[in-house]
Amino acid sequence: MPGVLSCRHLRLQVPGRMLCGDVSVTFEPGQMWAILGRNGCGKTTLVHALAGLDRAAGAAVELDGVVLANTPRRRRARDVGVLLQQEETEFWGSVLDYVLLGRFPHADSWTGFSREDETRATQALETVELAPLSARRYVSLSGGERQRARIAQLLAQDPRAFLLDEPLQHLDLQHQARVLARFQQLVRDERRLVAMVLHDALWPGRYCTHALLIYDGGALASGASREVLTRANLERLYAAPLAEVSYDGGSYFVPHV
Amino acid sequence: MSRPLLVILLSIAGAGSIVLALVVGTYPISVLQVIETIVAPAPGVVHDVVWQLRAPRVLAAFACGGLLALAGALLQVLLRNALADPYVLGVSGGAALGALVAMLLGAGDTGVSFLALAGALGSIVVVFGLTFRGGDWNVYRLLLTGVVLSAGLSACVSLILVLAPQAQVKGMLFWLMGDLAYAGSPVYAWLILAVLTALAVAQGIRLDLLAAGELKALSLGVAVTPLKLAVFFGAALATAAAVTLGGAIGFVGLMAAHAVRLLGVSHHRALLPLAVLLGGSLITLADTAARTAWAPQQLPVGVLIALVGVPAMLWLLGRRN
Repeated sequence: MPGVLSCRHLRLQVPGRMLCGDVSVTFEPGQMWAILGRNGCGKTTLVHALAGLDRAAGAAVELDGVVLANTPRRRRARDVGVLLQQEETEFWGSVLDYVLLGRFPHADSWTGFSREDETRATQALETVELAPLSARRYVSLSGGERQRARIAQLLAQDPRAFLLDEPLQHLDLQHQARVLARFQQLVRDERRLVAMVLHDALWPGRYCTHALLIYDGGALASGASREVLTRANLERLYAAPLAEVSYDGGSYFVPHV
Repeated sequence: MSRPLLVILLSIAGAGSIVLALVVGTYPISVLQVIETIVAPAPGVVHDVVWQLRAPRVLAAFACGGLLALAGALLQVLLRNALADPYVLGVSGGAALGALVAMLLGAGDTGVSFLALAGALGSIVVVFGLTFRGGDWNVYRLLLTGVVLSAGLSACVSLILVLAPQAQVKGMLFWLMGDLAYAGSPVYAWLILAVLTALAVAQGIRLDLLAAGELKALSLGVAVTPLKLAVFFGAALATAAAVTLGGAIGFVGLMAAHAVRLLGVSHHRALLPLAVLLGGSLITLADTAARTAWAPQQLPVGVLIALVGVPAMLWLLGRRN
């Protein structure tokens, strides 16, 4: 069961602005990627393109050598799942209903969700410690709880490749660690692929095997974490001085103020 | 309220409102007689009154309510706006202009229905043509175009009301407030209602996903653009069929879906048929009151709907969850 997600000569652009003219990266199963860059550098655009949500990206993104745009939609949703940075609307139903929507790519669209779908959704809620709130209305959740519900929805979707756009936003430290540990487990034990946008110089060094840095102006650096996540690279990336912290045999970076 | 209970209650309300509407009227007929003539029709005065006088109007009222409730619920998903009602796209404005022009020209009931339908379809084409570009929609542009077009059409309607001969103005006002006295055969409306409701329920999970956001729906494997097109045309067709029958009856289209949500159902598979039942029962009951409460004087059904519906809705909104 491979699940190699790759982009060749992908152009990242938003209306009126070219962000990066050529992104060519191969993301392989069993790898956990950090995608880092300053605000507005194209991280979200890249995630959308990799998830097949951007029609303009077209033929530049492939899954196991097949152009993603040519894959039937529901199959694509079973292969590649994305945690969006923003949700556009309020959801009227319960937390469990919300998480169940993630099962749509697996469900029979005529008979609706099956017992198994409900079991998977409940398990996903347990993973993010939201099971006690499953009958509550989604709109009654706090910001952090909503973020966990969204993560649970993606876990219920159960894709081969997970693309996460700022998965840690609104989460307290304990849940940040739990979420990252869960995704690390999926990468190690089930050889899934995880690629996530982070805004932190600390977590990537701790959890990610690989990193992709998008510099202002569109230059890239990608590769194994220990080669890419260097102080020089990160100081160039964030245009800010960093201090190195050694802990538990690894070295990490925090803002030097 | 649990979903099965709500289904049972609203089914009873739907059937009950139709039977009640067939019973009530100037010519006295009992519930038993109505049921008898429905189950085993036999020639006679009762049969004629029920089948020829009352049934067409009662069935038109129910279809009208169901179509408006369906259209409102669909547009709330498409525009992701809780305030969307069947008339935001300018469909009723077009129908009103057509109907009033027909009345001004002295056309009969058929002419009024025909021009109302033509007006409704005309505004659908205009809104669609102005907003659907390059294979996609910006829902804000769609909403704004509908609102702007409605404003223009309502100005034309006002102009006609000012210029029309005094004798015709009352009929025009009745049409604008919603009035089923002109309703033609409800057969097509029922056909459209049945087909659209079935299709919408079959797409229920996709509608849930679309309501949760276009990008989310796309990421979970929904063909968003075709779905949005289908929802637009489904809602527009339902609205056109409803206003052609009963004029611009307000309130039901906006509120039926909200009422069902407030009663605890949010999945579109259940929400849509329940909203159809609720909307249909409401207009059937209101129309029965409209033609009997002040008899022989008839009241516009739209006014009665609001008089009964507004307090009920305010009560639902004020309830604690």
